[in-house]
Amino acid sequence: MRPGTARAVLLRLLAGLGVMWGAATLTFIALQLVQGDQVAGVLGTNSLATPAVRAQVIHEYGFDQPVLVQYLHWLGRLVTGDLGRSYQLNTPVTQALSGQIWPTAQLAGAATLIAVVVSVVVAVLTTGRGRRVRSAASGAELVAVSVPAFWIGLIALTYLSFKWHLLPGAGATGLSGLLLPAAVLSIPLTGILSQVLREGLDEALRQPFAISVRARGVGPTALVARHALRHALASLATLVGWMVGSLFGGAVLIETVFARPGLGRVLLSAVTSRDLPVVSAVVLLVAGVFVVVNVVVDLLYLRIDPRLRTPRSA
Amino acid sequence: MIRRPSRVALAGAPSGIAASVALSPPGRRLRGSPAVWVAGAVLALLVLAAVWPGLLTGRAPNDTDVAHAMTGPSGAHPFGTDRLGRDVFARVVHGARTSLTIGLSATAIGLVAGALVGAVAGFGPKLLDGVLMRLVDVLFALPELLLALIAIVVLGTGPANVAVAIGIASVPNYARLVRAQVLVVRGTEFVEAARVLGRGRTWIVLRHVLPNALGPVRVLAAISTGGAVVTGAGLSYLGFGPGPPSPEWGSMLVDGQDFMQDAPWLVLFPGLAVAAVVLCCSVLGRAMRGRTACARGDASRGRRTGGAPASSTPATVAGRPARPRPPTEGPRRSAPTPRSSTSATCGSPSATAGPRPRSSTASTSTCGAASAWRSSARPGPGRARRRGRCSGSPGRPRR
Repeated sequence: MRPGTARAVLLRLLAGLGVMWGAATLTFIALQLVQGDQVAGVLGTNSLATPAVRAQVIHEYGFDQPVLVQYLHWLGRLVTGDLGRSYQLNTPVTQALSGQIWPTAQLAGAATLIAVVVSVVVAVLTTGRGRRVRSAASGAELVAVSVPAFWIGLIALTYLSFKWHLLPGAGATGLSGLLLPAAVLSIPLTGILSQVLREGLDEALRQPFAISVRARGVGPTALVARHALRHALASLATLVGWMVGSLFGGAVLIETVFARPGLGRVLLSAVTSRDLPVVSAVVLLVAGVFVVVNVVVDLLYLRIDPRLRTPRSA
Repeated sequence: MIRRPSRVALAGAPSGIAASVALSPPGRRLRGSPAVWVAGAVLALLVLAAVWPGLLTGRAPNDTDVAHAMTGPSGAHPFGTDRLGRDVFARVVHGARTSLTIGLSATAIGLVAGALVGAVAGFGPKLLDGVLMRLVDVLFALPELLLALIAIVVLGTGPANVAVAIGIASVPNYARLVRAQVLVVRGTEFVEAARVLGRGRTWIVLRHVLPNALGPVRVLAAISTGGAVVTGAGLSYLGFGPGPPSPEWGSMLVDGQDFMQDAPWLVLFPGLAVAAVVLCCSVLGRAMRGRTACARGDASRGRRTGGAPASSTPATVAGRPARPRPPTEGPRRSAPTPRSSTSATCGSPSATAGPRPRSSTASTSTCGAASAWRSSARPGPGRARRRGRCSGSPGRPRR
């Protein structure tokens, strides 16, 4: 890694820290906005707490301190990795979340894999064809992107699992249980990816190099697969950074539909019971993953595009 | 040489319609495109259902008829009945009001707040711009659904809060787009001319900047209305929407999902209604963008200057449900960069060409190019000129 690259990565990470700080501040603001309910959240909804107990809770959680002090406390705790205690479960948030990260990561990873593979195949097969093929493909992509995935999930679950018994139903674990939710979650992503990928391929095929490669006697498929695809991969990598967010949003719904464990489910129950420490931990986690993935994508560019590896001239 | 379809029109315009718009002489194909007509008709029907449900169905959505519970689609009940014998068709029709209201008001909230933030950032002092855009960067790092959920924690549940939550979650989209537009228009000669003529800042913003920014924003609004309807249905499905008895598409899905094996129509039709709204909004939004590009008149002229504003519409490429925020991800991706306020601007041109390779090392150069683009952009011969003409502004832009 050249020193320039290292510096750029470092800068990126610093900027990422800025984003994390912003996310932490955002969650703190949310905490402040619902503070009155926070006490109730700690005490439970139907507890008959005496004013003395209330005061004790307020004091224990530091709700009586000046906002700035509370804010600094909050940041200080976050820096040391202490995300607070869940009001609802009365366990440390880290403990409540740790078991849920892996199922969601599995789901997201499998969905990304399916989306990337399918969209590369579709884009390679449909690029450079006639207008009719293009229209058909883009129409299908529009539908894939538009139709709500969780609804497709409900229907797929009914027919594939319950009626035809092809795949295990809701709540199943293991690889076969992962297949259907991941496939459903990947549908909108596949639509977007293949659309962007085909545009990238079309763009690459219009470049002069495409003609010279063809002139060397390379067939059209080989041209796409070996040369144009590399150009289009950059846009694919860009989208991966965006997919983090989209995957997480989709995962909340898909996990509910398929009754899968995971961050989405934890988040939902936390939102329902206004368990803000858990919500803010999820927010920070998602922001952190976003930052890391985007730094990785930046590094990927260097691998994909050799032009970026040479020192800048201008 | 064969005339290539303009890249801008094609970029992120993969639908058959948009592609045909790009390939055809301006304005012609668009009006005749059957898909646009169908989408318009379906949306009109849904709006009719929302405004005047009694016209489409004589039944009340909550009339129970246990004798005919769980019957499949038939002449009397075109969409079947649910476990209480309520007519699913009537419920879908009556549900249109809630769902469309959530979608439209969320879009309105996001649009107004986002335009305000974007305009202030684009036209205000540099420091304010920096602060606002960093804020937007942070929001971009979080998925829209998560933002909406945070808003729901603060606001509470219910259809009105769902709409506000979705609206808040979409503010960053509009803020970035409007800011990019403002920066483009701000650098034009006709704004300079207006300034030389002694016009005040507010006047310029209202008269030149906002009208010019409107084109792409309108496209984004059209497409993300569909997205807001889906997010709304999703949030109701998760239990944050209106309570059980009221007919709403998302909560109908929850009601129906336990009986899906025996009565698939309970889930099929409300879901189809949601899908129809999104599809129609996407189709119309894309057609609108095609028209914006055509109206600029440069489609026929071939090359387009710099980053034509219309192409900078994020989310145009794919009106995506939960997250209508696709390939423009060029700008998003760079959210955590210190320079990203510039790269948000870069986003516009790079969205044109599809996201382009940009590494940490290369990001400066891209942004440099973008600012060069910004300064050289006389906003596509088109938009501004057209506006100038339409508004009869004194500062009529030079071609």
